[in-house]
Amino acid sequence: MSGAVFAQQLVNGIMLGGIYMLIAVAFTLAIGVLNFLNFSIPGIFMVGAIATWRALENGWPWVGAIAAGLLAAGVASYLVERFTYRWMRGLDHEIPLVSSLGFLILFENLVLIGYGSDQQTFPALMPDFNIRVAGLVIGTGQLISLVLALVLVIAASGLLERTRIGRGIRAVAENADTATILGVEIHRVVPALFILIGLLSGVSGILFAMNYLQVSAFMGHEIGLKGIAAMVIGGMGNIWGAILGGLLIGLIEVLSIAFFGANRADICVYGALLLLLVVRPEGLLGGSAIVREKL
Amino acid sequence: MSGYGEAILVMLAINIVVALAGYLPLAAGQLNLGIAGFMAVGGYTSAYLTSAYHLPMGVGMAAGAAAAGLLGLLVAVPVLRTSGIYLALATFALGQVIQAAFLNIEAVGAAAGYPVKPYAGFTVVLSVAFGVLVAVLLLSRTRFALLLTATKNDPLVTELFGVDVRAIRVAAFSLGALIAGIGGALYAHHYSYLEPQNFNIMLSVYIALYVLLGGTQTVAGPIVGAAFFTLLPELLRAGSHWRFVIFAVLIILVMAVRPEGLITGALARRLRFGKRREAAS
Amino acid sequence: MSLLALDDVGKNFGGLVVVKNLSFTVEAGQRVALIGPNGAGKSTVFNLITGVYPLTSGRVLFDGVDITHLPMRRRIGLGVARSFQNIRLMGHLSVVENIMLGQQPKAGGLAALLTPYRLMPRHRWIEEARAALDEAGLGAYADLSVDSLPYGVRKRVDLLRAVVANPKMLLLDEPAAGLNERETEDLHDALMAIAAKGVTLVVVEHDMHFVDRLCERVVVINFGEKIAEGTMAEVRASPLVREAYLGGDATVGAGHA
Ligand SMILES: Nc1ncnc2c1ncn2[C@@H]1O[C@H](COP(=O)(O)OP(=O)(O)OP(=O)(O)O)[C@@H](O)[C@H]1O
Ligand SMILES: [Mg+2]
Repeated sequence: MSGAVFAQQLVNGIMLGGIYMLIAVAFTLAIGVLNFLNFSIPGIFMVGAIATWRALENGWPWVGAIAAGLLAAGVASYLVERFTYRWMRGLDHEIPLVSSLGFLILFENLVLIGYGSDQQTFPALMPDFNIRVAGLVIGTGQLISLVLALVLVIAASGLLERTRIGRGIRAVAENADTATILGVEIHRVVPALFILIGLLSGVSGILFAMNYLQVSAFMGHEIGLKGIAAMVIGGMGNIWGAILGGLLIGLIEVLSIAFFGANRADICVYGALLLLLVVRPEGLLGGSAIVREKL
Repeated sequence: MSGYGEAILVMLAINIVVALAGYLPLAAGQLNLGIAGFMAVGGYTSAYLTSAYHLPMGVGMAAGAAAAGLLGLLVAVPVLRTSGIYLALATFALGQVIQAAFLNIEAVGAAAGYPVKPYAGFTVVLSVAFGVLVAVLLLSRTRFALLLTATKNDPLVTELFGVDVRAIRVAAFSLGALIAGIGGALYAHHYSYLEPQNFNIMLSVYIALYVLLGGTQTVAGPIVGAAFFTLLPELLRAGSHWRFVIFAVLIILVMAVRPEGLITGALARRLRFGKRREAAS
Repeated sequence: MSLLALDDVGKNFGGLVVVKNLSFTVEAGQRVALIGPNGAGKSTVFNLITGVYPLTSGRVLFDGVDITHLPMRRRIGLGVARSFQNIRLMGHLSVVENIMLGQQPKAGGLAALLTPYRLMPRHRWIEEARAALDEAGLGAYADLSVDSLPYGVRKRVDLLRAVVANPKMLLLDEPAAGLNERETEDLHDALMAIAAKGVTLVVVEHDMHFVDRLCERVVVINFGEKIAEGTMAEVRASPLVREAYLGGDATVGAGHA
């Protein structure tokens, strides 16, 4: 492989990483704050994209359609909160995980019933044009996604750092009981967090649809599951880890396709995840994975 | 029996086998999201040995089970150092790796799929499934089962009472993998065709979910869960997607109001106790 | 030779020093109390003796064996059993099955593990567990789920589970906490009976009246350090102890804490 081709692959990997990043951040917020591995996120990703697609089909303008997609994703995520986390706080942490798988199945099959299992064509926002820099081809859509992803992630982390609700979220992450005692309104903070998670997932679904120009009921699988890998590799609960993980997974995927072929990419991506879980479960940027126990 | 009835029973039998595979680790508190991977190992191993080396089907199935169990043992030791969410993630990753691996093994057809020769009919599938069920039922009457429950309940206290909790977990996980291998072999020889896509993450998810729906405190739980999952569409006669919708809603509701699943140990005890009381009076 | 010896034991959690330079011994057959204000490190000392946490420094000897680095599951085999401050029974198991967990250290190897005893209603394990429950006056609860039991009964099952393991030494973390007067009295009698069989008792307890009647010797710790040791009367006289219990307040002498 020549240097130029290799450089091009690196660029492609980073662009792909931008998509994984957003979804990895959604996962990491759920894990970091609520210790909740939220498997409904790939479903919410899909709901955002499908709702946008439907709105466009019905002749809505882009802004309206994207708003509709985000609204649908936010509502879907709120429903997940309502029926998983809220009912089961304090119980076995695997129970919300299981319910969130239920929601994944629910969302996907409702969409299947509504629109069938075929890939649907998503209209192009702009005619395809690429930027050429120093011999490298960069897709404009992908570049916008990457920049937008970074901006959104930084905004989300700013939200956590600086706003009242963000401080509430972080207090809950430290210790839900203490936070309640300190006056954090957990019944407002947690739904807000879920809506944030829903919006991030929805945005990433819409961006994905705009880049790849198609949507389907199962579109969340590949991306969502790789988002999990990205989150874990970066370090669960760490937003910057999710960014790093997203980029790494994007790179691993693109480079393994280039070197070993498309069929081997999943072996490399999930093999890396498995290896990491065995040798360093806390991830690259994560702290200790050990949970304290009061005896 | 009608062909239709037989087809349903075969499906039920295979679903019960893989439910038991998911149940054993869950009884010790471990969520295995990679069952489909172990099914694939069992199925492909048996299919390959019977086709390429003309081994009898029984030997092939045994080898498939052994291969899946061995792989389970091999990965259990490092993977079970982690627990909870980490374990669920590791098994998920493992399932993905296994599926992707079979997509690349030319000897068994890679992505094109692999035809399986010796055919396991109704009787064979049901007998093997029955054998597995009896074995697991026997196991559930032992101290090993007691320690599985204790491990799930409170691993620290279990360890303090002299139990090697890690060994118990490894055993439960590997036995589950072995049984999944049997389930995969039954699937292979009954449906006569294997494709890596059959063993995707959603299959693992469905298995884990119907076990949890039934409950993980008694062997009755996974059986009820598998029966429910298999028979629901037949009872409803609804489109196949509605079946999943209803299943998903049920899972969400059951986890919300009765997170231990439909059948709990206390329920089983009450039923047994009630029976004894009736017998006494 | 002492049954239990802590030799210059220290434990830090991150930067927090919880146990410091702690040495004390317990002779076989003794009834010893380990007391101290809330957060003094008493439960932590039990966790160190049973191997729940590794020591930061020092050694623990039991029955002449250095158990500092022994995995926690090996310790019950040597004869160390314990109860927990917050009862930790197995909620998914019935009362008999909880007691059967107590039999585990002497249950035997793989063959025992795979014996389908539940198909044999007269199996030795079940009979022994029921007999132990009957003897403790808990027979009526045998087949119930532990979660359905009243608090006092659960505490007794918890104690019985540890006793069934035939330990040489029992570590009891606040056995009388939450019990009413009647139950406390029964507990006292039960512990005296256990001790009479030669079991060494180490008790963490806030009820000083209870401690006074049960134990021959008292070790007092504060902020993880030993501040006094001796008979109840000797300990009571120590100014350090009065200081520790809220600046010389009479708590230590006044019975119910
Ligand atoms: N796993 C742990 N990690 C960090 N700190 C701990 C841990 N366990 C105990 N501590 C701290 O060590 C100190 C002593 O705790 P410990 O539970 O041993 O006290 P105690 O004497 O048993 O108190 P009490 O009478 O309230 O039961 C406390 O400050 C506690 O917060
Ligand atoms: Mg304590």
